[in-house]
Amino acid sequence: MVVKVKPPSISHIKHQTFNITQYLTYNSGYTLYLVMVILFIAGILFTVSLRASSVAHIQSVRHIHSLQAKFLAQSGIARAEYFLNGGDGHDLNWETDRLEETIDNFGTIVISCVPFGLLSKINSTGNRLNESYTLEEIMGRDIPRTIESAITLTGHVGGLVLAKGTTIQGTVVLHHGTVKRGNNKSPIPGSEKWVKQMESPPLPFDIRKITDFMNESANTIALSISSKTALNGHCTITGSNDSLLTSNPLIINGDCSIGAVELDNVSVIVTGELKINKGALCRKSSFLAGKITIVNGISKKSLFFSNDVLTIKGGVHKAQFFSNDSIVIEKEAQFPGSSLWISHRIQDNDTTITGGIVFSEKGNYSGHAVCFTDSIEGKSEILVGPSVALGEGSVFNGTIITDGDINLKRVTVNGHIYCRSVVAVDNKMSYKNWLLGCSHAELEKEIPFPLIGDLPAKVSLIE
Amino acid sequence: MEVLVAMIIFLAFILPLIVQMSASVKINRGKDKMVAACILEQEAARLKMFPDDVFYTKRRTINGIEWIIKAAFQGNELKKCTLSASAKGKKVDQVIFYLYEKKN
Repeated sequence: MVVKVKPPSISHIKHQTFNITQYLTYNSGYTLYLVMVILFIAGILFTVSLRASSVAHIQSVRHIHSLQAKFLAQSGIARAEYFLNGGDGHDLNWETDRLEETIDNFGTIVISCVPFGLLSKINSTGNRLNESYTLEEIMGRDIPRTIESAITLTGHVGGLVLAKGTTIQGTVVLHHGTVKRGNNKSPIPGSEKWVKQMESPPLPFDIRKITDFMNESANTIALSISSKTALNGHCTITGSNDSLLTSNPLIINGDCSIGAVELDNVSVIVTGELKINKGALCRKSSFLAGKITIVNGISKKSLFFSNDVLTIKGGVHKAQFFSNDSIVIEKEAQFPGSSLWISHRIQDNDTTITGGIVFSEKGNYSGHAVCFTDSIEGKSEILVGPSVALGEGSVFNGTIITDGDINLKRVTVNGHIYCRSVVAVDNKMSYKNWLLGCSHAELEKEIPFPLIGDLPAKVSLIE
Repeated sequence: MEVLVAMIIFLAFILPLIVQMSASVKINRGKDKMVAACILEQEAARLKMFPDDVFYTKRRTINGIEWIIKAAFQGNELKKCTLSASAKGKKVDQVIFYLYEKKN
């Protein structure tokens, strides 16, 4: 029973001596309040500590599950590498829309591998309990063994002459003839060790994969004219929130101009001219257009196909460039990492062949250039100029492959050259199979090559 | 009445203490999991970088606790690796991944 006692008034305290012990002893309601307050505080402490501990525990469990999922996703990439390298009877053309693999009772891996130009785009998701981790990578291969020599001249045009100041590191493959220094009549002493005489095919690999892709891309552009989802007229994309970007693929019947916008994993088909301007950032995206002009911007692991001339005026690029005509690269354009330039030379009329790759002077290029020509056998009236021109003072890291001629002088090439013959004009004099002031060295860092050529291959991720 | 009040006060003090203890046990378990995750990530990265540097059992001491890392491999060219980390006689966690050794 609780006895309520009226507390002494101030005036009472003033006049009497107040005994606190006596007050607490006979006023038990106070204890109850005290206990309730303590219980309340204890409750708060209890909840807070319980919450903190469970959050910490959940976080650590989630972290390890996420790590396990990441390892599973990486395993999917390893699985794709294995298949692309010829594992389990597959080859470089292996592709799948969805491959699900269960790893014991631990988790699952879901892989998709689709062609992306001449490379493969792999998407791998690792699932472990409630956590999942996705990786998307682009894969290429090592340089095929058929291109391993420093210079291969496939033409039946005699030997090679190294003008004063020219250096070569590696093997030279000729159809016949020797390697001489300047106007010397005798071969360079000891050159028999690094010169091979053999018949070489016009191109070191089967180009069907390239022509198939380019024909398919040209058809896609042609068919998009009749697409119901196509937008007619000139389009300008200037913002990432542009409603145009909600449709994938974005089909435009007309011209398109892309401004300062980030494009991630999008596909754009333009029947007219596509212009990429300053501020544009294209990642893992594909652009198929009648004609492409890249004025500026950044492209990473992207793909550009142009039916007409493809001009790269500026910007920083790590992408694949295809053209059924010429590829013209101006000196403001930069290519760090690895790029791919593919030009298909086509007979335009009875006497003309269009196409080729032109690298401007004093540029720094890193990647692989391939230029091939439609068969013109028996058409001697057609005059064909060089397929690839590497501007004076340029540095090229990678491989240049063509069934035509290469025009070069006073350049540095680190990698491999595979062509019919080398041509150059200097002081109004034309030279054939003369290397004028060129410096050649082996490739220091391997640059991923397209998934073409013979096995065995070492498939690797493109950084 | 006094006993009841005393009990309540006692409980009020003891309960948070128990909770704190259980929390610290859980946090310790979480801490072990984090350490295991770090060890497994390191060892997996090492195996990927140096596939020839294969081990089956490895001991590591971290903050005075001895960890035993066990590795098991299945397959030839595409190896399935199971890495597990144990401490105080208990398996804390494991990772499973494929290791692809490229042909020369």
